[in-house]
Amino acid sequence: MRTKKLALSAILLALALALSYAERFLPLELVIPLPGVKLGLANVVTLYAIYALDPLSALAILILRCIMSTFFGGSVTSLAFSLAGGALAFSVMLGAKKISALSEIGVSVIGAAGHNIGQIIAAAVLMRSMGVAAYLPVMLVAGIFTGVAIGFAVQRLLRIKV
Amino acid sequence: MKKGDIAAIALVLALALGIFAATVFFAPKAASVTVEVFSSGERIYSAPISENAEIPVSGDYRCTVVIRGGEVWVEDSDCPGGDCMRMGRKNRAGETIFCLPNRVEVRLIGSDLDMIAG
Repeated sequence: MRTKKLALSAILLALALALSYAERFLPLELVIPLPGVKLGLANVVTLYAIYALDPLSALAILILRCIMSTFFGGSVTSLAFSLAGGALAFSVMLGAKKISALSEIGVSVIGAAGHNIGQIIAAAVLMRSMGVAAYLPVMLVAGIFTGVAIGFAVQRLLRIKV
Repeated sequence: MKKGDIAAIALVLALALGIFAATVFFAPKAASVTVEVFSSGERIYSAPISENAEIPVSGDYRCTVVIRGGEVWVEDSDCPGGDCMRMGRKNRAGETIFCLPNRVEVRLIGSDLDMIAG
């Protein structure tokens, strides 16, 4: 059982890394000119890990993903963004999972919003200005779409027994 | 999809609308606009947008903030990415230009309401 969990965690970490790397090629800067702001596609792994594994493994995968993706040409800024976004997404999803009225989709949407808010908080701290909050509405609406898509994907994935 | 999911989506949408409304509501409709340039959180320039100027900024990287003809933009930045240059020319109160790698911020402020950063 331990070996299986370890293997699954490793696969999920690899997947999360691939996703956050792929995300870099999306020209999000054209809409939101803050370098390092991401859609949060790797959130699919965090969400899946929270449900299929346990919170601690999910958190370990998240932190390792953030640090390791910096090795693939990320900057300190993007590390701060992904850590702040990822940590807030993780916390709110963990809380939202306890609400029985929410399926994986609702949890995912809340997680996406947390991811965006976390990134904006990081940007606000870095810039010492609340001006960056002006980008939050666009990011939140975009996050609803990615959130629903990710929640839907995780819902399907969880039906596959590993 | 459960009922709560719809509520979650509605909640996030409401939050987005609320923040959007707040930024629009607080954006001053001032006739005259003041340009303020911040480097690493410190104000290094403040003058009306009608005053032409070229402000050299040297933080971690070098760039030039240009104010000309009632417009503000960033020129010749050697920061990685160069998003600050791509943010284009700004002329309305409440608008901002950022250069995150260089920690530079340009704020356009309505002079009768100078506490707003929208």
